[in-house]
Parts: sequence; structure tokens; C-alpha cells
Amino acid sequence: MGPLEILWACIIVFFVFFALVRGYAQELGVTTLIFAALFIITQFGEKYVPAILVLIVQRTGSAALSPRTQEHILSIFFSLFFIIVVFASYAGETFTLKGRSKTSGPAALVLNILVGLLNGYLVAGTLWYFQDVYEYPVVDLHLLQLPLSDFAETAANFLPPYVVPPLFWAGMVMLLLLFRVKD
Amino acid sequence: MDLQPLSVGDSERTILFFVLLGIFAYQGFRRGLMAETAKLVLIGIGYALNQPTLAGNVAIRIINTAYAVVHGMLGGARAAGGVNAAVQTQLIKPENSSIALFLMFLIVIGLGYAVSARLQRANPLAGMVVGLLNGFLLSYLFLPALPDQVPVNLPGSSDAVSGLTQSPAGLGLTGVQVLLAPFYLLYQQVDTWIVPITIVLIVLIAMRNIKS
Repeated sequence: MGPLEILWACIIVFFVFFALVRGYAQELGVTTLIFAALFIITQFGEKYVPAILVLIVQRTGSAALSPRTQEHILSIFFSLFFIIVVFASYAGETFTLKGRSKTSGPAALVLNILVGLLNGYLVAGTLWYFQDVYEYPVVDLHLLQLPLSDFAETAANFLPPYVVPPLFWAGMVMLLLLFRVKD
Repeated sequence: MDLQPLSVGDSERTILFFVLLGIFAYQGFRRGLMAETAKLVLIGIGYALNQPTLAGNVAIRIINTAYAVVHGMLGGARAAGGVNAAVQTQLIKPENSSIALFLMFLIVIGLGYAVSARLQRANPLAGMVVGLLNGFLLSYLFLPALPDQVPVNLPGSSDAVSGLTQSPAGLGLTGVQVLLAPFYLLYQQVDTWIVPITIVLIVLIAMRNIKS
């Protein structure tokens, strides 16, 4: 696999395309669920899931997991959980905000791109975070070679869960839900 | 490849200055005298707030006093305890005062735009003149703050590419600089808080543009 930041940029570009096709009102519904998932993961998941994992291993009488194996499991678990939430937010009957978005004109274009960039940053950035915080488990699978480039090292400091406190996500969910029910 | 930050020369800055004046004059023509005057007043207030010696220190004292009063009413002062209570109940600490003043400056200018959008459109020519003045003031305040270099190392940039800044093609680079400059300036002030601030702004702008 090539540099991680290229993959990251590709994911963001895909989300911009999604937003251009679907419109920002629908994409904000996806944003809401991403905010909710981020709140659950950063506020509760990272705190309790490792403890639950250790408990399960103890209860099943298995040999204690090595720290590296734990990192693999946690990284995969959180990544899967997050991907499922994102997938669910796009699949079937989706959660959308009430009202219509502008469909044409430069303002609609800019808004679609902005919300697409936001969703792309949140999704790509969070998946990258699950690698970064657990010491890049994909390296063991030969899917990535370290060290990261200088740009990637800098970009990694700006991954969503590093720069945004958990309660912020909850606040944003509340804001968007209030907007949805206000009419 | 050796990555060099791209630099922006004085000629681009001057062209940008006149482009901004043109945009503001046009905006003044569209919005009229009252709206532009309101904007001018609030730009002046914002500027005064951003200067500690003019009104900045007074504003910080007022905010800290109001915060201390509210904190005291909620019983926080007693909980904080004794002599250090006043220091501990400062909302804006001295080391954060420049960030707070800069944010107040931006908020007041934003308020100016919000107020001007709600005022009646009349006297377009006079509005154009005041709009020109607003453009001059904002350029005077913000252009010197623009970074001399594009705040990112663009991939593939080199000395040869930097040479473009001496040609008309450098205007495109100035455009990139202008687009990134607000983020750069904000980043200098608020560090990584720029991320949540940007997220909130995008969500609020998008929500405001959803028709019920």
C-alpha cells in the first residue's frame, strides 16, 4: 500500500462525491450518526471495551493476550463498529434532516463540498486514528510500511478524536437533533 | 524532491488589495449606506477591542468581573476558597488574553455583517463609498497579517515553482494563500481548536441553508 495520506485523501474525495450526488441535507444526517458513533467510542468505548476484553479472556480461561494482540483486536473492533455505523447511515431508510437543501447554484455546490469534506475527514480521520492510537496494527499484516512521511506525521496530530473532546460530539448530536425536531 | 514553501511577493499583495477594494465597493453598492455604516461602526468597535490599550483590557476586565459574579452566585467562589478565588475565577487568563481579543474582534466583525444584512437597502452610491472604506480598513487590518508564505508545503513545489510568484501565475498562488490564510491565522490563535470551530461552522452554515 502507498502512503497512508493518499488513501486518506482518496476516502475524503469519495465522500465529497457522495455529498455532491446526495445533497448536504441528506449528508448532514450521516454526519449526525458519525458524531454519535464518535461520542460512544471516545467517551465509553475506549474506556470500557479494553476492560471487557480482558474480562472475557479471564472468564474463558484463555491465556492472557499479549499487548500487541489486544491492539489488533481493539483496532479491528472499533474500526468495524465505526464502518458499520457509517454504512448503516447510508443504507436503506436513512436519517435525514427535515427540509430541502438547495439543489443548484454556487452556494449548493460549496455546501455540498464542505459537508462532503467534513464527512470524509471524520470517517477517514477516525479510521486512521484507530490505527495510530493502537500503533498501526496493519503494519503486521504488511499493508503499510512505517515510518510515516513528514506530512502524515503532522496530519496525524489533527485526527478527529485527538483534537475534539468527547462531549463536543454529544453537543453536536444534540444540536442536529434539535434542528430536526424543531418543526 | 526538496520541498520549499511558496512565497508571495508584494506585487500579488498589492493586486489583492485592489481586488478586495473592488469587491467591498461592489458589496457596498448592493447593500446601501445604512448597512455599510453599521458594518463600519462594528469594524471600528472590533478594532478597538483587539487593541488592549484601547478597549481590549477593559473588555476583559468586564467579562472576568461578570464571570466572577456569576461564579460567586453559584457558590463557586466559596468552593474555590479564600484569597486565590479571584484569580481562579478568571474566565480569560492573562496568557489567553490575545486569543480572546482576537476572537472578540472576529465575532464583532461577523456581527457587523449579520446586522448589515438586515438593514434597508438605500443610497447605493454612498453605500459604495462607505463599502470602499470598509474594504480599505479590513485590508489594512488583515493583509499585513497574511503569512509571507503559503502555510503548507504544496506537493511538488520547488525553487522553479516559487519563481511563478514573480509572474501573473503567482496570482493563483495568492488565491490559495487567501483561502488558507483565515485557517492559518485562526490556527495561530487557537491551535487545534480550529478543528471543532470549523466543524461547528460547517454544520451551522449547512443547517441555515436547509429550507423547511
